[in-house]
Amino acid sequence: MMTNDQVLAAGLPNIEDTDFQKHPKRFLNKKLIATLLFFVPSLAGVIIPFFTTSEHPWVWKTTGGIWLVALIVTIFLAYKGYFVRGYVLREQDITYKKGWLFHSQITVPFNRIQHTEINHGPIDRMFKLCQLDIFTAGGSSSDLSISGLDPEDAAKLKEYISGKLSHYA
Amino acid sequence: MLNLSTPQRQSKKIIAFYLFKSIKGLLFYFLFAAIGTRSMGEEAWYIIALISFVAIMSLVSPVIKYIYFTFHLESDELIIQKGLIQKERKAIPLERIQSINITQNVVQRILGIVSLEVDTAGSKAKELEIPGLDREFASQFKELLQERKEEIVEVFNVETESAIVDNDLESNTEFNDTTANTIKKETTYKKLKDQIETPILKLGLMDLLKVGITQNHLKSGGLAIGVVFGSWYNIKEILEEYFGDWLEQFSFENVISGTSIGLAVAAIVAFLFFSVIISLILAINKYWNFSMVKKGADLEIEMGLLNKKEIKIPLSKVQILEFHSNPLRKLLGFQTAQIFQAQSTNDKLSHVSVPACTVAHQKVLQHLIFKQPVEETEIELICNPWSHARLRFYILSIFIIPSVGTAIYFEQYLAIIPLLLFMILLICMAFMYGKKSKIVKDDDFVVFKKGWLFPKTIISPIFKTQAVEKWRSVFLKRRREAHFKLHTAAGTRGLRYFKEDQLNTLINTVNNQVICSEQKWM
Repeated sequence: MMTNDQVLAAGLPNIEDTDFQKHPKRFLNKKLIATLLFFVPSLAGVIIPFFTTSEHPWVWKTTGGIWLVALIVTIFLAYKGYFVRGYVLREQDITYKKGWLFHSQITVPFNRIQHTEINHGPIDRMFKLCQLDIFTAGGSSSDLSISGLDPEDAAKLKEYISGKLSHYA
Repeated sequence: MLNLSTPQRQSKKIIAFYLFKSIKGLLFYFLFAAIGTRSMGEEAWYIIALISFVAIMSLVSPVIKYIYFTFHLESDELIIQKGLIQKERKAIPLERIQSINITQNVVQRILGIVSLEVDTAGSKAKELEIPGLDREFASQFKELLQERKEEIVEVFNVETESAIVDNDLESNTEFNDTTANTIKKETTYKKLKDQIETPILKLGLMDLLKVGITQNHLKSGGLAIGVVFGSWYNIKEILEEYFGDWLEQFSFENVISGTSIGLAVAAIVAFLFFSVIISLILAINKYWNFSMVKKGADLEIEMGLLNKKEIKIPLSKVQILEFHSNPLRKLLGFQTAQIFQAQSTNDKLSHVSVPACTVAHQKVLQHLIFKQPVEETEIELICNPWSHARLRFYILSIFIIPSVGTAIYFEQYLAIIPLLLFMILLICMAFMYGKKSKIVKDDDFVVFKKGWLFPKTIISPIFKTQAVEKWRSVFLKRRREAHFKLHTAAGTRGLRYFKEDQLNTLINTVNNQVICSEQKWM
């Protein structure tokens, strides 16, 4: 039997009432490893002064201190960020929230999405992860990029969204 | 009627335009080289040879550019080809053209040619420009493109409509014919409607003077200083070479030692005076002969004294309408409207300012662009002014506390008072900003009201929203406050410090309304 109920904006459910999907646990590992990989080359900034300016030990001590503090802060933010990151896919829109220090939650209705893309970098592939990019006409500020998805989930998401898009085209 | 089926060249006058451009680009280079070679001995010969080579190239290249720049229409595409060594071919499907503008700068004005700019929104491709056309030719070309584009779009619509009819009533061909006829009638009616021109706003000299006086003078003063300093460093070396001795007496120390408080005041007065003069000149130059006309489904705006501009805005492409005010404008009873269109490229904000809009004009504009006025308020969100003041306090502390520290260290206790007064003033301004800012939502629009001394009203139709965002720093979590961002195709607008539960209601209603809306955002 066909139904065609009138949809009123006021009757639709709220975003807060839905459960956000968490990313797979290995996304956290990937984030931590990527942070370390980024910080290892910058360790040169500590080691070189250690050997070259041996008469001024304060040089390598301060750079080392800055390096350590920056590393700890970044790892802390990456760790905290994992637990507040999540997405909700509903019948008509997709919501993504992320960030611990600066938390943002952005909602894009399917009838405003231009196209979607799946991307993955080298570290992503090592951890069997990928990133789903969703583009709108609002420019880079309103484009969603959901990183750290299981490739299978991402493909399903993309298919679901494309199905919805063809409905609006 | 123009025949554009074969590749066409621009007007020959474009050679002079290109020549001017390359000479302008090389001018400082030549000056530098002229001074440089004086100090060199034997090697100067090579430099001179190189320079003459560059000079000859810059004379020849305009001709080459002219010969190899062609444009024509081919199977519903506008094709532009250019370049001899690096060939470039651009093809724009006519139905993708969003707007066609004619502009003219000073040099083009002297030569009597105009630029035709073709804007293709939606695609990331850079917009196209044909810089050297005769005015007559350009306006005919513009009309032709517009017509061809509309034909294509209409044919497409008729085809899809009749296809639907075909499916429904295969046997009844008679019906088919009648619908085709009515569609034809409708299109002719539409064409007639397109010809109607309704003038909306025209500015005379008095209006321009008013507009000039109510500009942001600090901005134009700063601009003037920037230009002077910027070009100063460019010409300084040359000047020193020739007028070195004479300039000595204007050295920095001499100027400072000669200054007293009276001179400083005089300097400030002079600065303000020149700022006002510059604002006036800039405003008159920019908005000279300003006229806004509605033609069919487009707004056509003409303005400019030295750089003449003709802008065409398709009404459906407008995403956001803003009204900016300041104390002076409030006194004279008008505001500046800004019309924001959907952007083709992300980096360039394309907006058109309409100065001197009285309340009546604002209503007309609003009605024209968005078809209806802002009605009674459904949801009203008020900022927390204390949060705005607190943020300002934190930011200022970074600068003020060290300054106070140094003042105490040097035992200059009197210097603390103006510092603290300055801080209190800025914090009060932040508080007033927060107190006067709010978001109002009726059933069709989200309206931002922002600011106290320089109030702004931003009107955005809900169905043109691309995405809604809520964000906050971790420190606001405990206070249950968050910021709001509204993403549209003409950029992001936002306001800060709202109660989180109220903001949630707003975000949910806006989002759900976007989902339910059938209207296209462009």
